[in-house]
Amino acid sequence: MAQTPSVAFTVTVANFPPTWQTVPTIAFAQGVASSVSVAAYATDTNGDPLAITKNAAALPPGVTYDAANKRFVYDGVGAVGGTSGHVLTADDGRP
Amino acid sequence: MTHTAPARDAERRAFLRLLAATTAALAMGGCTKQPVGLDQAPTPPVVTTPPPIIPPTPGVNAPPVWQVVPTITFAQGVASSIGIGGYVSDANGDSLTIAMNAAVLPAGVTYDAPNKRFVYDGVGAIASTSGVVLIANDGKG
Repeated sequence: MAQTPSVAFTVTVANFPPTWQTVPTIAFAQGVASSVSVAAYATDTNGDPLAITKNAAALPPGVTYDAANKRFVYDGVGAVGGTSGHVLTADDGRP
Repeated sequence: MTHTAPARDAERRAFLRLLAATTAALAMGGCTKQPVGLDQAPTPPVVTTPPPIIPPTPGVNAPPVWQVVPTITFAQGVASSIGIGGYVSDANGDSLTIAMNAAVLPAGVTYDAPNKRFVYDGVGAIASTSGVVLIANDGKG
């Protein structure tokens, strides 16, 4: 029989880190209480549930980041304002 | 009738001489106008050699040939399969069976020989196995 072996290779089951799409500017209408979710901007190939935390950059008055629900919330009262330098970090809970 | 014949012959000979002279002049002119002289090396033609095509020799079996198989990676938690049939070919067009060596695959991963693919159940934990070798057999001696 004509038999040919392949070169040895590796088979692996692996964890993939979360990946981000670009998060656009999060804009609220001054005077209108509302929230904007950021959950959809981070995905995980393994389907792991992700925790999303925010850095310490100060938000405009009346805006908070709600980590439990992965969203920014505006109270409808805060004045017009804008801040930059916000960074979200997604964690899949795996090493 | 007869007295006119020498005159026509003379005319014919004169015409032929004129024609020969004209032809020679044109030939010389053609030669002197050629730009390539003895002191100019002619440009050798560019010869491109096509890659050799080695057809299977009639009556002789060619064994299966493997490409390098890359690392086969499954995402933990996601059931899926990865075919490996495309990494091996046979010049004779023989149908191939592909067996795997005795390497122990990560939990939840199996080799599905009939379908020439690795299958992951989506449950097995993160793990890695090296030294996996597939053996292609064309069924011919």
